[in-house]
Amino acid sequence: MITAQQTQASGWPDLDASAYVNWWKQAEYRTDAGGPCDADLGSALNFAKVRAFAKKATAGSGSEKTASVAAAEQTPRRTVPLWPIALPPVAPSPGDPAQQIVLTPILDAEFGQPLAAPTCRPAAVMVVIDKHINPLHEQFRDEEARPRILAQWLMEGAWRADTRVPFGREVRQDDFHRAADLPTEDAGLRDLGVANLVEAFASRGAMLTSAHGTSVLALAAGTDPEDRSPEAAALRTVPILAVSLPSNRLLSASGVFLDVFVDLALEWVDARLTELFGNAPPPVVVNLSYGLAAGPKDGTGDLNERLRGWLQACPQVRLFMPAGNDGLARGHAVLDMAQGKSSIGWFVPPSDPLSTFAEVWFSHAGPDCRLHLCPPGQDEALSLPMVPGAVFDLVAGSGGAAETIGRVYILPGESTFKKIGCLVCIAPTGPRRIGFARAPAGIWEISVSGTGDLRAAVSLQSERSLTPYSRESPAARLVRLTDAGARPQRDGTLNAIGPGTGAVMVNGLDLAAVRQIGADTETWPPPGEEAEMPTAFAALARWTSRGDPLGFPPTADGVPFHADRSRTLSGLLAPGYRSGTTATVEGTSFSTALASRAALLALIQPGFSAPRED
Amino acid sequence: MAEYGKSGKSGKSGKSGKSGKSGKSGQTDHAGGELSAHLSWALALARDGILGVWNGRADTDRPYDPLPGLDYLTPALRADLIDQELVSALSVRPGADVARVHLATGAPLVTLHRPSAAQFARQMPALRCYAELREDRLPEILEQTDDILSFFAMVTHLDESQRKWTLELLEAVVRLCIAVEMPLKHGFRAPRPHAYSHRVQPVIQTPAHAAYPSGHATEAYAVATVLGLLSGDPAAVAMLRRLAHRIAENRTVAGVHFPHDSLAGAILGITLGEWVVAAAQRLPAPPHRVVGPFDLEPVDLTLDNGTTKRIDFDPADSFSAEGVAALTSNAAPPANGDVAPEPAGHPILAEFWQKAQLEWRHAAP
Repeated sequence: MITAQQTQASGWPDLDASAYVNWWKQAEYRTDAGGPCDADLGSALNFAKVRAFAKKATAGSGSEKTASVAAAEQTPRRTVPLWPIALPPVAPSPGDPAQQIVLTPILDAEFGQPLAAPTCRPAAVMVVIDKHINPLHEQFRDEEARPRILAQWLMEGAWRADTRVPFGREVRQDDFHRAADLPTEDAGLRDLGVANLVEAFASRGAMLTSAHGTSVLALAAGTDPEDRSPEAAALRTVPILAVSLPSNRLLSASGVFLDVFVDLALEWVDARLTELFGNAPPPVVVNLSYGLAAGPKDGTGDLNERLRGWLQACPQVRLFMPAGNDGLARGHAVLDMAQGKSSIGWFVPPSDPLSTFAEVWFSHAGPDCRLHLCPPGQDEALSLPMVPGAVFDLVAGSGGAAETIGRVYILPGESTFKKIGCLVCIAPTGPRRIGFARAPAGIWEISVSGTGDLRAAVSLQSERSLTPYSRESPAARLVRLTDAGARPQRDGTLNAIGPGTGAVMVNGLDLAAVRQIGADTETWPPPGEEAEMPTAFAALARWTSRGDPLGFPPTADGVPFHADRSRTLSGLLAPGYRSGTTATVEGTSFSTALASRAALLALIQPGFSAPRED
Repeated sequence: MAEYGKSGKSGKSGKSGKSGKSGKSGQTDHAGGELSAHLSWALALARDGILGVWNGRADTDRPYDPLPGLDYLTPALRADLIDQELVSALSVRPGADVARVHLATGAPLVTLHRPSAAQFARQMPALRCYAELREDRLPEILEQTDDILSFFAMVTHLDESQRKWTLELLEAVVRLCIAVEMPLKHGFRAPRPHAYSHRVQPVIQTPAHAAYPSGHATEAYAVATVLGLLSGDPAAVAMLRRLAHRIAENRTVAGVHFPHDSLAGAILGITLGEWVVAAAQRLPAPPHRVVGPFDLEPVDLTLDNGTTKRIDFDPADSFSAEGVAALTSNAAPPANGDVAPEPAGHPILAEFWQKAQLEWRHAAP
């Protein structure tokens, strides 16, 4: 019998801004003896460093400088503060290893030489924020076959004392030129530190055949060396800035840690653009083929606010992001009391060594709003009030045999997530370390109740980053929603970053179904633009995300782009992880790259118009 | 090295294999059928029916001569001859800490120092990192367990019709490597990675024999060296070396070898390959090469563009393609460069080499 018991969550919400982080500390990365994790476990330490860095940003003193653009002293900056990291400062606790790190600001010109601007001002700049980017790839060369990447921040690179980034390593054009002269691409990547096969927690994703970022960048701005078309020649003049995000073990598959790294990545991009081009950079296309599955999908959230501010302050920047609608069919549903749909099943697979999560967001808050959670095999549901800040442990057994197998956080209104909602965390159902309980597998029933026109959006994610010692657990199972009352739906987006910010949300065009996945078909194409609007491509300079940012349920009627080669062949062909290789890639990440490419061409080739799809 | 592989005891050209003594093309088979008592009885009956009277005299005092050279033999018998010639030309002096391979003249060819247990243990983090490539490389790892020649055939065409002699020569080179590396492994008795941690968990069966030097590295680099010298194409040489490195590296990915094993195997293999080609042409032997002690000093490598890159060996990951190239560079004058070839030469090997070379001639312009 599983019961819910109200409890205090140590460290939340004061120290851990995210309930995911709090659960992660409680449930994951525990030693075999059941105690808290050893700080030597790279993920925990690295993440603690990053969080501490972000929190210290507004509390710098002495010789430390903050990471805030607005606080920089010596280098002339924009007057508009673009990237303040507005998390409350935290008093250092004794013995906290995160306090021992030396923080190097991203922007400080005293640390190392600034980047040298290209001799000719480019017509546009390509920025890619992704993982596993091979900067020496033949697709990213100019007319003289030299690398076009001006600088790359390897967030997992080995840190050097003279580096200009707070963690990882910044690699610059002269490094690329030197590495490009080495006999093989592998030797060059090792020389740069992009491929490190020695240190446990280092960058080596570029050694894997599934190089997400390489394929994305190649689709967005790559050119075949043998391609002599005017389009290719124009693309070869476009310089590139790249940020290599950490691997999944730091991001976590749900992306719950992604926002900090994306935040810092965009600050780095902004700083480098300023360094290269002053306060008037050329048009910039930013491709961020990543999503944050955790959090509300309606454009609220701190990162979205900052994105909105940045894009408004910098009209020359165009940001492209994926709608992430591949997983919608199994992980997203709307409960609508008015329609009589008030419950849905949540399948939690057996033998899963990882936690699973469900977010339930309510359309409005009220004193009688309640979440009902019925564990597998149990007749009686647990009924939880939506009291902001409350935490409920899900406990199996009683007395001395009681074990916590889950937790429900009721998210307070003034935290990162603005709406009233809750996060249901279920412990792993598979073999776990000593001292930790196993949650029951099966169908957990989620339902809501309340007065008024109550609706609730349910979305799922499973934690797939597991331990620091595996790239990604092949044992991870996918959770899904079942048709029990409400129906999972593919409308909308699974990406909490982007909607309503002014970024272009790119959907995957499902050629097989000849329809647009993720689009609100009732308003597609937009009124008055039917004649101009091609079914597959769009004049991207005119488009931004159009979904109602505060609407309910969230929508992502952005721009559709190809996700498949044909009606029978799924996926796209893209350059692979090494020069001369080809990969089949799937998902809106790559549709986004195609959209970025169209935007880039529109910017650098006057009169460019994307082809129509009949 | 693959006990059950193509060149192994039970392999294609092994004793029980297709071209082995008992195989389909073995010398005990008849021209049109397999050996059997029934066939022999039938032959005897037929002879009785056609022979007539024979007084036992010879019909000619000039018996016909089978095909010249080695062509009259089956591949298995040719293999026996060349194996005997190659193995008897070298002597292996194993040791627990230092081992040498000598020429028949007594001059040293390769000296290997054994890394200490601590030096091996220092490479465990690298094994942990390389293990992340297992899923990616698993198809290669599995195939290369007992077949590396197919991978070399991908780069430079190899088959049993157009490049028959090349293939036989390469198979002989592989067998030579096995004959040399096994006593070395036995002498050093260096434990495999799984002996240092139960978390290595290799994705293939760890062989029974010891780790150092790596048999796959030795054989792959030897094959790459001989093939490269046969082809005479610098671009092919670079690609073959790159392939040899990958084959060797895959053993570390699989969890059955340390980088030190592959480095030693690479140097050994290159030297053996060069020796085979030199001996075949009665040229001076390659320079004496020394691997270790394993505080490896930095060496300089001259790149194609004429610049020099300093190769600093990482104690955690000593095996890099550039490091091997730097260690085997002939930029420095060879110590054994003036060792004269043996007077008797190696006629079997010479014939293999000469016939293999003919398979690489290019069409007249």
